Amino acid sequence: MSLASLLGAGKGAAMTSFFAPEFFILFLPLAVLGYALIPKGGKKYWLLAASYLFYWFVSGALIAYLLASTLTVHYFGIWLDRVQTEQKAATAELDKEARKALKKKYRKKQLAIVWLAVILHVGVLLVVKYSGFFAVNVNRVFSAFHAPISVRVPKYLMPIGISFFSLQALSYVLDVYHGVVKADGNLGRLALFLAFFPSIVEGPICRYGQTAERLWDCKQIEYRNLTRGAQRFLFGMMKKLVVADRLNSFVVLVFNDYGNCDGGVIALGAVLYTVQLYMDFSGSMDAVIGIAEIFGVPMPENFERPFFSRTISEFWKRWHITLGAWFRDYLFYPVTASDKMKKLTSSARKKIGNHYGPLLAGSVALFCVWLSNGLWHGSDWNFIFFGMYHFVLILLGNLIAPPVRWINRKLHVNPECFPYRLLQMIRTTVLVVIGELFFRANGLLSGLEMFGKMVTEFSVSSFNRAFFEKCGLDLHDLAIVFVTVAIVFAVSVWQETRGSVRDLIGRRHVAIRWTIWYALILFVLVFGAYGFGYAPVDPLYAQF
Amino acid sequence: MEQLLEILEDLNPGVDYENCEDLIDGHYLDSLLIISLIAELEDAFDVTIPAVEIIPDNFNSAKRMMAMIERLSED
Amino acid sequence: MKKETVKKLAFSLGFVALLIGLILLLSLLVFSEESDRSKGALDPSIRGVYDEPENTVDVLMVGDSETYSSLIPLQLFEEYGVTSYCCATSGQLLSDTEEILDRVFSAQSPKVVILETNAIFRKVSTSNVMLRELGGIFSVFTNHNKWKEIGGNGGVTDDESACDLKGYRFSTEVAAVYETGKAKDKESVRIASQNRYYVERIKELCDENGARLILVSVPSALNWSEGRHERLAALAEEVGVAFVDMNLLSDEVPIDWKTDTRDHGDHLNYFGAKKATAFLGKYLSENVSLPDRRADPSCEAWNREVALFHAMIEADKPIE
Repeated sequence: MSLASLLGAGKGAAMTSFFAPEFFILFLPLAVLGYALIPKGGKKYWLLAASYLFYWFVSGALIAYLLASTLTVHYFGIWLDRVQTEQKAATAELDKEARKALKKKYRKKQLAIVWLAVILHVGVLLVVKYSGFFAVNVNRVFSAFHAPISVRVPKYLMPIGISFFSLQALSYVLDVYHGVVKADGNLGRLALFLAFFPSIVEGPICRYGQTAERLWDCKQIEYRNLTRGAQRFLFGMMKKLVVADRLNSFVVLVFNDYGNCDGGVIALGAVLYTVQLYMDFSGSMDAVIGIAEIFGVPMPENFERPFFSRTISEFWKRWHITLGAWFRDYLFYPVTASDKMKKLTSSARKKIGNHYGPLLAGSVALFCVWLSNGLWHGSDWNFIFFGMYHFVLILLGNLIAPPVRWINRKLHVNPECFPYRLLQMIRTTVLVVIGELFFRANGLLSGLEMFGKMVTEFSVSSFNRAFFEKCGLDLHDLAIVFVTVAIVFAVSVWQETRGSVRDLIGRRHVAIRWTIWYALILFVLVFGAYGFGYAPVDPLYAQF
Repeated sequence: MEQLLEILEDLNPGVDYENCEDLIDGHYLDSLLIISLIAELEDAFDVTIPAVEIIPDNFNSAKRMMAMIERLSED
Repeated sequence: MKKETVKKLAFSLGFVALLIGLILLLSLLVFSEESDRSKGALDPSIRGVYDEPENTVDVLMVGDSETYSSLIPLQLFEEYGVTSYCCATSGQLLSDTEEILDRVFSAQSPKVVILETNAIFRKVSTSNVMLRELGGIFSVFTNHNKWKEIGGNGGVTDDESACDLKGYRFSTEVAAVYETGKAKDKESVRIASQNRYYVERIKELCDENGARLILVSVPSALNWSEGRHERLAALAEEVGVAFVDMNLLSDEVPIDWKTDTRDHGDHLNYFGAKKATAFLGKYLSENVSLPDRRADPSCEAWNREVALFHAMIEADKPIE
């Protein structure tokens, strides 16, 4: 037995799910208790140790990737800082013209450092995530030309959360470069920012300025934070265990065995997969944000009731918010704000007006964003298709906005009235569901076949008892899913129109309060899809 | 300030730019308009607005935009 | 401040205490072990084992999908008069296996328990162990899925005319192995310590109930490897049980990986299962003395099922 396996490396792979008992009954309470008891000065080190221990449990030796990323980024930050200080000293006494010239020189130097960081991180991602995909496609091309050569398809173990912490690390370097944050001389603080155990598995993708200080500050645990954090965690648990995991067998069956399914069943599969993905991902985010809340750290939200979106572009401001914001700030705006694009915008605006003018440069940037977004999710054609699908939808949305406005005016339709908004929400949701069909499909070809079947062979005759038996679901399951979705929907409506539901409950009498929380706990306990006959489902986004 | 308000009015009429404090957070200016706006501002005020300055805080009101432009032109 | 802290602490403790009380209440009143013995929270697919008359099942098969795809109780009965039941569920964990055996032993006293070995390599996580232990104290953790039965069975009626396959799942689909003759070596050949622990527990449980435990590896092109075989042979020796590996007996179990698998070598289809079961019947008849129940009046229903099974094979699809 090797030393690593004796020390528990990779032993707790089940811990990637926050709702596995070994995490929320063992690891989390111990982490919180230790944190509360340790004197103020030691708390931050406890939290850092707990984070690395967690990562060691789920990933074992692959922790090397995280450590390497942390060390290099820390060094790049200091390096940038040194160049910036030098620049300040050198330019202090100069007049405006000379200062500008010298600044340019220093800017170049800094840019080189930034590129180094980007190449390193994106390079590792490319190798670990995409080299297999690349090799497979090269081989395809070879065999298409009957070339008698082939490339060995490499296979790397992907460290959990690498797609998430790499983006955090890059955003830190870029923020230092832009002067948004100061380079951190404290390796521990930077390490905790990157490794904080709740958010390392599937985000949210935080910025250094958002969480690093608060994490390192380590306030004592407060009763209010503890209860509110636990409440949020519990709500996420309901989403994941009662709905997402229960739907898993249905979704797996439809997407793996779509050849035996009718169009209607495939459509239902796509809808239920969308429900599963939302409940899984947003439920896990509730857990992450809830846990951070217990430690007194506010985390950025990742979901804001996305299915109330009126357009696709609004959807992406409400679904996986931190990823969208990352691409917006570090890709979209830099591309559109580059000199060439600015010139293009100015001249186009004069020729084709305020709406379509910026669209040219905007589309180029948007294309970059959505290609990256698709690829970020995984190395397969269906993910690229997924990105392009949303790119085209957003582009179309922008193109037809003025004519739609004109038509509405002519027809005296008020776009703010409820029926119109409702129609927009339904349309957006339908488009999203179609996108998720391709997202989940096993390769682009399957996705296209499934979509074809859905459109051409729409019937539900395969939706019979044998089908239910095969996936182990019955009417009870569908009923409980329906009830739970209704609860989440009601909560969402309240949040959308009135505000926090936890505040609402918190204002009630203690008997009512406790009854509600007990009811929710027992609800999850009884109706959760766990235990006998249910294999735990890994969080869906942990694989990206 | 006058010039800024003119630009804004020209880009997207019908908003009370003088007093509005949540142009971004209130979804009055979307990302496409921001692209245009930046190009216009750079022309009109002879400044360079780098991507990093494109944050809600700098664009939520005309006053904030003016403050940003003044800060950038001093550099 | 001090007083406030005490109050909050009392509140928290009160909340937790009341919660434990509620869970206990729920366990005792609604999801208790007793109310569950006869029918229950076990996977619906194997619940039929409780419908068998008491002490009439002589062989129990446990394991995962490999098991229910490969072993046909009705064939054993037809050829050797041996009554058996296949209590296999997809992705079965050894901790589940132990639970199933524990329950079934209360109604049946099988002489042989066959544990298919693929499940031995499916790691029982700390969470699984915790759930099992919690379930020992608060039965709601084990039995909670029984909520589906409370207040009727939701309109899903048992079809009386359907053939009862005794836990076997019938499939005649054919999907050949991609590269014949090449067994893909499984990455993990190690048997986790928790899993070893559960194999020992299962052995003890069988001993206590007078059943003989036999480890059996059914043919699988995708799941078998030499490394696995060696580990299992060593484990069987240490625990003191017999181990039969059909993957090494290509003369007795002549699996044709072009026609006998339903999913490219992962699971057998009916044609493969027929061969595996024929071998198992022969092995049992040579090594264990089991009664021939074909004339036993308490097993009369079995003869009827065998006839239905033949009709089903004839029609080449499950009778609806």
